[in-house]
Amino acid sequence: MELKLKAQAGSFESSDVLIMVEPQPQGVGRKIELESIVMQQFGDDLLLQIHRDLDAYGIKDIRVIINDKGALPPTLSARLETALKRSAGLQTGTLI
Amino acid sequence: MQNSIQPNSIIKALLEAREERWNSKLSLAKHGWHVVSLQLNLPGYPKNDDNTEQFIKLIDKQFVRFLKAHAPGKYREEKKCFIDKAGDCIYYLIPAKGITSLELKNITELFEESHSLGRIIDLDVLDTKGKQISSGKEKKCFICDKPAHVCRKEQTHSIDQLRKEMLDAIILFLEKERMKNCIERFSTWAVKALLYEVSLSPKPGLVCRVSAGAHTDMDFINFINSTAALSPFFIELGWLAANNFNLEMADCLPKIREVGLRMEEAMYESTGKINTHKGAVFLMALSMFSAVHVVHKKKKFKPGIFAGTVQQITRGIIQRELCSVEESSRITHGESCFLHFGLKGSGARGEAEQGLPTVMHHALPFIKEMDLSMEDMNDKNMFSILAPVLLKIMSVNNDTNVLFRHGEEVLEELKRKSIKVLNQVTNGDRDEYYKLVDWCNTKKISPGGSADLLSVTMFVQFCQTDKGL
Repeated sequence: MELKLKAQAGSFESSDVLIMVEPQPQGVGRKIELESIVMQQFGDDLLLQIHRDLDAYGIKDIRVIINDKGALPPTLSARLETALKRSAGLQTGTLI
Repeated sequence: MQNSIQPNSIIKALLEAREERWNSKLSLAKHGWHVVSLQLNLPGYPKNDDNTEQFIKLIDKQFVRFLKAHAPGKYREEKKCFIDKAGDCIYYLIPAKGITSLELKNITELFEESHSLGRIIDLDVLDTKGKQISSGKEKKCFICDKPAHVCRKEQTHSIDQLRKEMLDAIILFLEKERMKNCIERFSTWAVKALLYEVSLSPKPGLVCRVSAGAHTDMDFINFINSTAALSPFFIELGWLAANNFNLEMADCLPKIREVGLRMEEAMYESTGKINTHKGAVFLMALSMFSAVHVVHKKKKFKPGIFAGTVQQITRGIIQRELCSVEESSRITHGESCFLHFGLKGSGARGEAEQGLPTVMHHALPFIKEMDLSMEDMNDKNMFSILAPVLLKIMSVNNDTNVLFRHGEEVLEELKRKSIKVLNQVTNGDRDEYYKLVDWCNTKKISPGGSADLLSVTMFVQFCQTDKGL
């Protein structure tokens, strides 16, 4: 998947997550900024999940800002997928 | 990954709805409003049903009241209500000029904390910059006392369990609110019925606004004092009915009596030991209890079931309380009357045990037949509405107040006169009525039992025409 634009998906509602993605030049790697109300207990799990999902899409260079209000794993994956598709121009929605 | 816990299309629709909400909130916030959103923390699907809809409507009313009480003048009745795939939702738009977002957040948190179902209620505050205000306090799980988001993440409780417990709690809450509303309304009707009865003027032998009738020891103000003293107990009787729903009908009577005896004490204290309402207390306490019982059981007021309930509660009361009485100096008027006149002298107890026949088979059908409306009562029309009903009751009621003091002949004469006067009053001629008033006043005949039944009749009429249940 080729990222072209800054894009976001999700909300600040409780048990949801707001994800912003931004394309990065090749070789920069993944910059992930994570904020969560369950940071202490689940911060590592969340990061692991984000990396696994990005692996699946074959994305190596990206900036991801995550503001998590206690989303469950399927919600997190769905929100990331939408943000990525919007960034790649595959799905309409909120663009920045 | 737990992608399989819910069907994907539902998740998708829900996530889309949430995102849409978020964006609409953001755009509202940018127009100079603080946006307070009200929604439910209900896990699983669907997010709304009839109960959640009713629940959020109730919480809406309670929260607006709370907001107005804690931040007077800040809320300007600007709100948006909608239902989407994420459930029922309301946005309150508060002009940002008058109040800070943190002050608002404190109010919403206070509301959640003080509400018995605060853990289901989710109130968020978004400031004019689109920033969600957080106080850093953690909401507790609905089932245990751990932070809610930890339980959610760890899935300590299954979604099904959590959802079921929440929905059950909502149903219980709605039921209690419904009964509270009913009890408040019915107790208003009980007090109103007593006030209307004494206000009807003039009345034959009875205390009214312009005369003490046949009485020398009490007047209009005694009745006002006594009614005021009785008024708090109707709410208590209502809750007695709502909270003792599973009690055998026969076991209700002692409980009602306990309140009834306190009502008598309050009455005597307020009147300087004069009996203004003793019969009325017995009948109205029974009626209040029974009316609420019916609404609890049948979800609405049904007069037939109401009368049946009164009957069930008082089943055997004549046998138990009147038949066993022996002549002695320490018996009440009611007991003495039964001793002398048998069933004809069974008074309020007899009326109750037979299921209020005077009210149900005479007064209420008469009101219906004459098409009398109690809803728009005023000083001008009160007489023409209530005097015929009182006469109707007097024409059939074996009033033990009359029987006890004046004997059977006078009672029968009063009943005959009442029929005659009723015909004339309904034809617009009040002369004979005034003569009946004079006759009763002069002869000191006071049909207090009929006055009590007039109150009960009005109470039942108010209950059965109540549109706010």
